[in-house]
Amino acid sequence: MKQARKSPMESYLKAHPYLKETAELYLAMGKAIKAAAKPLAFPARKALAELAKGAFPVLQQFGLQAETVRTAASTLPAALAALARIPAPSKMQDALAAWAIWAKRAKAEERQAFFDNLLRQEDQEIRDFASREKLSEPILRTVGWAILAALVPDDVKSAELWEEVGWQHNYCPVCGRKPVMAQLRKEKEGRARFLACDGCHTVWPYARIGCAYCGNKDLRKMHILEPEGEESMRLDVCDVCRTYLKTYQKEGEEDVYLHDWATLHLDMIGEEKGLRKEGSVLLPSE
Amino acid sequence: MDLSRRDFLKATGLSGLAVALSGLGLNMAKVQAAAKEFKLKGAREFTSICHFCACGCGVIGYVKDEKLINLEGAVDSPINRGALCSKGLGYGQIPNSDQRATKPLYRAPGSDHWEEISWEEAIDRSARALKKARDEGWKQTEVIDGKTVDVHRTDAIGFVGGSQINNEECYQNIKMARALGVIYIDNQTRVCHATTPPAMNAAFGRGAMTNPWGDLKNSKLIWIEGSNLAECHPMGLKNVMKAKENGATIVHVDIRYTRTSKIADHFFQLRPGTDIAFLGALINYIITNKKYNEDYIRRNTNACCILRDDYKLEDGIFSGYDPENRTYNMETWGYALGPDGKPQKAQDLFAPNTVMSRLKEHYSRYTPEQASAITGMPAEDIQKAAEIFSSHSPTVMMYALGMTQHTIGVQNIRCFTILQLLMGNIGVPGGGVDAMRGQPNVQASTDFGIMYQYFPGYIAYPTEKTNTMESWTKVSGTQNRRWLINMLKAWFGDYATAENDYGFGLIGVRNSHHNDSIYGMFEDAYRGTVKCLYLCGQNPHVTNANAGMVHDGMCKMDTVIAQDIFINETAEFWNRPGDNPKDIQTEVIFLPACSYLERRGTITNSMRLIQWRMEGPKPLGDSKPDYEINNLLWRRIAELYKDSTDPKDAIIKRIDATWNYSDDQTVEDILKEINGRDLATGRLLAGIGELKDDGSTSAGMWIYTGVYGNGEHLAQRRGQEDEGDMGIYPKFAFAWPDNIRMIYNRASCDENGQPVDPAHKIVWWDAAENRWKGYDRPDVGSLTAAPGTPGGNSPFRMTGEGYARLFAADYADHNPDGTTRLHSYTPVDGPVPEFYEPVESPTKNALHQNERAQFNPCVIYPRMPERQRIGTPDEFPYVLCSSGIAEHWCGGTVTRNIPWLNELVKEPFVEMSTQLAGKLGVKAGDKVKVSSARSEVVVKAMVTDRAKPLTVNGAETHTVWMPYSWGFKGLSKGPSTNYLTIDALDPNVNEQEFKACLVNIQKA
Repeated sequence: MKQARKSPMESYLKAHPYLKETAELYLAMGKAIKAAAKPLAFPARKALAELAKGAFPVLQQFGLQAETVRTAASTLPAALAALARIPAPSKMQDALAAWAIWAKRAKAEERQAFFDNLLRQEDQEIRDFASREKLSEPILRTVGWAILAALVPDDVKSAELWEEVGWQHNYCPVCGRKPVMAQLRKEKEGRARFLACDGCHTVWPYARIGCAYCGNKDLRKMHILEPEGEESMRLDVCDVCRTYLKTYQKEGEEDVYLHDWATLHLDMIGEEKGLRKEGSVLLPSE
Repeated sequence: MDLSRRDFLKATGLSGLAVALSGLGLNMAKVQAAAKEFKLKGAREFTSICHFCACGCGVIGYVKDEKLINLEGAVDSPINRGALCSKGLGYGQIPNSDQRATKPLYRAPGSDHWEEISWEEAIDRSARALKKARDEGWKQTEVIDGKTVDVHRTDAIGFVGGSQINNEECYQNIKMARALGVIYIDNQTRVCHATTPPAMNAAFGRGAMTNPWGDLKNSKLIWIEGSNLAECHPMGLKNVMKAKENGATIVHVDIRYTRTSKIADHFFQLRPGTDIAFLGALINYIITNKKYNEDYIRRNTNACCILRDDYKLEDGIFSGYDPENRTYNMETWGYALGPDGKPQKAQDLFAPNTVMSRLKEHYSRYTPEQASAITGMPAEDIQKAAEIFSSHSPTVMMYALGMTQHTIGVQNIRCFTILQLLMGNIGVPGGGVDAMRGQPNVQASTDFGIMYQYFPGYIAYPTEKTNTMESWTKVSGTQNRRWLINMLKAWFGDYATAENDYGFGLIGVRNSHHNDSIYGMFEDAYRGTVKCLYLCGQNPHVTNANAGMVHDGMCKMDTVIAQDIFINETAEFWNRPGDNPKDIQTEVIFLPACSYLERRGTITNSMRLIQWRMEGPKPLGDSKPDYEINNLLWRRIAELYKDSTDPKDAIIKRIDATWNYSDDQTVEDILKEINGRDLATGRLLAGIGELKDDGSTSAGMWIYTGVYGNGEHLAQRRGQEDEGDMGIYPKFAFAWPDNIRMIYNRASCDENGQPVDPAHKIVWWDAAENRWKGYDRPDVGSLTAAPGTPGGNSPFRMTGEGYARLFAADYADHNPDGTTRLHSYTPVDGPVPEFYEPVESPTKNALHQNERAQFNPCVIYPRMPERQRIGTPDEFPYVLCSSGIAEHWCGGTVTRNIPWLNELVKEPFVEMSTQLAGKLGVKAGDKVKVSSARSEVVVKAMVTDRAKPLTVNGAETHTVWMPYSWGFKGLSKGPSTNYLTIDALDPNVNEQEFKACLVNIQKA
């Protein structure tokens, strides 16, 4: 059914034409991988709550981790084949092709080892692997995590679930990554803060006050940067660890704003200020 | 230094992002170019605590360009979880309000306007005025009871206020007042919850709200009496609704049907001032039908203790009455002590002269029929209420000023303590007596003793009977002496030694017969002795009963110093519409204080939680934080006295020696002094148990010790842990004492330290670790005192007995060497509550024929016959009750300057029943004249059915209601209801009877 009105993403990209190339690539990647990789069966809500009690992310637990890694490994060739068909810069197409060659020739254990390292954030291993096999590290990280994300059912990524479970740590309850972004959502006459994962796209509740990275709770050692013309967003800066956290401070357009790549220009601004970024799939963890 | 690519990327991670995306083949140049076009504005957030009803809701403010842009509820506060009522949100307008006073002002004698002056001049004038009044009004000696006593004080100065300032500022305030030798010291607690501490103290040993807000979800019955929780403590309501969702029953008892009644399962209406009759009937029911928790009362109370056999109550008068002075000698209210000087316990609960048998006898007169005649509540309803009360557990009783503001206020609340002890509801989750205070920091202004009769920490202030350390200790006990010594060390520093009784002799001495309360203050101003008044954030012109006395008293003063955020009725009393300023010679100095959002400090809520407030926007205009004003004022006073060799001024030098707070860390320095230190090492003490009585430690106020323990500012904590899910949150901020959230929690365990109700345990004795443990800090003197030892078996360790008191017997516990250890508190008007009529009553006392016992036999009223006539029902046939509303708050100084709150409620009114309106020929909206023996006002009539006419002792009785928040200043103006109300006072604490007086109403 064709819609007369623009979608939020379309309106957003019209206002931010310089992001169009990036957005279209990511959206196309996501769509292709979603078709190739189907979500796994995860434990039910109650069991998840039990698992979460130990403050251990779901995918760092032995059984589920192994299954996820196995499935990702076996899905890799199909995913790469799907990606080969989407419009992409030639650099990316070359990198995908090189990886597809490796994937075809690699043993199952080798493909699993890759996803295992990715999930456990063994960045040095990933770097060495890329160097050894002459593969593009950005492609490995981006596509690798996109596959893992597709294996996690949507309802497991939901903030409401993790609110109910009562998870309040500064790392993702599903995969254990540090957050890449935050959102402020209205709660009574205040706002609650939620964190978003760049890896599996889970959203979970967190403390409203303080640095989500280093735990600093002294608001005198934090400040906010408001980008003029981008009223939906703010940057929460910690003066102790010098990170910034992009924070979506409205509701209703999560499909636009809760992708890290959608506000790339704000990351440039953060860099300009000499601040550090954490949580991005593209960057090694600190 | 050579950076590898890896190090380079690591160091500038974000370059890595652009590089990585380029690695995908994306063109980052366009993005980077666009990014350069974005300008950034700086902003910051800060956390604070709302400034209204003492729920202590957390707020988060957003500041940009040094202005407050947004105020929201803090979602991580266990108290409000992000919610804020209309007032709390409305306060966001205050930092930017154009009604704010932003410059110091001066009103010259006889002038009709304010002049702007500099801070230097304002402080100098204020200091000189205080000095002048002090020196000219200095009283070195006084003849009291035929003896000449060295009193070394001044009666010419009054200090008023404290509930609107932070803890550190309260401490500065009281230190300054005591240094000057001021005796007329009072704060909002007087008009509000002054009757609460004595009542709770008498029964439990401490005067504070027992259970935290978060504990309400554990209650099965929530009994709300004398409170409009829904309007006046909205966050209290939220927690009540949570309990309701968990299946709790809600009962509301009040004089009219309000928004609180609406959420209740049962509503019971009664006549103002008759709660004792009603609650007495409940006590009667519980004892007669054996509904009490026998195990609990045997273990935790004096139920079985044997009283003296010469105690009696006859026709409304207890034994030991002195009719001339209207006081009691309490000796006959004591125990029949054993040879060891301790109370004796009988095996049989109802053996002759046991507390239980006395209680039974006393309340046997409170039959449903008798209570019905007095209260106007049908006997079947009283019966029903009794059945509901006695068939649920655990029950929490919540109350506010409907219980406190009576000449029988202390005894009103004592009924709650008796009921809750009988049912075993103290020290257990879901139980408690929740006194809901009304001012943001009135808990602290009370804690800090900004009151004539206390030192900080509820330590008695010296009178002629206790004017040496020795005589004082004899009455207050060695336990209290320990706290006093620590305070004196904090105030007088090295000067204070054991040899000079730690400087005790420097402190001014009160005349115990004298009324030094805010009421006495204005009466003595009227008589011409109080010359200089210093007010800090209080508006007695609107909030005192018989408010005309405030006005007339102020007219006779030389100087009024008003430190406040807005210019209110008290500050501008000389400019009242209809008066001629030329007739008033009082000079007035106005010191503009900034709002709570503009400064930092700690603040204590109703449940004793000490929380931190950060600074937000800068103070508006030239307004200043109170802590800065206090420092400036004190320093100027000390400077004016610096060359004096007069012995009366020695105390000023002593206190100035320790008034050495740094300018940039004043707030923190003060809190550290309050917390206390080991004087040898300088270490900040971590608990009350570390305070010594040998001068080796100091603490400005012992009950707060631990808040800054070992240098950690525990009030700043925001921990979300709630192990046990009991609503305790032990790591969120800090509660006094010693971070105990639910006081008396030891009572929830048996004699072996095991929880009586394991499913709802809160603390317990861990035999393996040999210590007390729990979800809350156990309320025991020492965590290693095992059950079975005296230290481990005192669930109510702050009473002399160590257990709770159903009957508030006269009792002093002694040390082995015979000195007094701790004196339990007994209210001056009786060991058990007895019903008396309000001073102005529409009827006769149905229980007593005795003319002396119509109203409280200890009340002295009138004190000033020419200004305090007692109205009678023939002239004033209707009962007037007054209280607050949701949209406006107390004296209205703040809320009547918030435009949208004024939109919600524009003006005061009198609410009457349709029956009364019909009788008077009045329609809704008509102007009517409401008059009392003291004054009259004209307001509009509101006609409702919320307070039905009642049949009292056979006669139809009408209650009318008025809000009291209006005055002649602010954006919304209106006549002050308190011109009408009666300043008859509870004899324990001089709190006035706002809730019941007599009025007449006529069409205007």
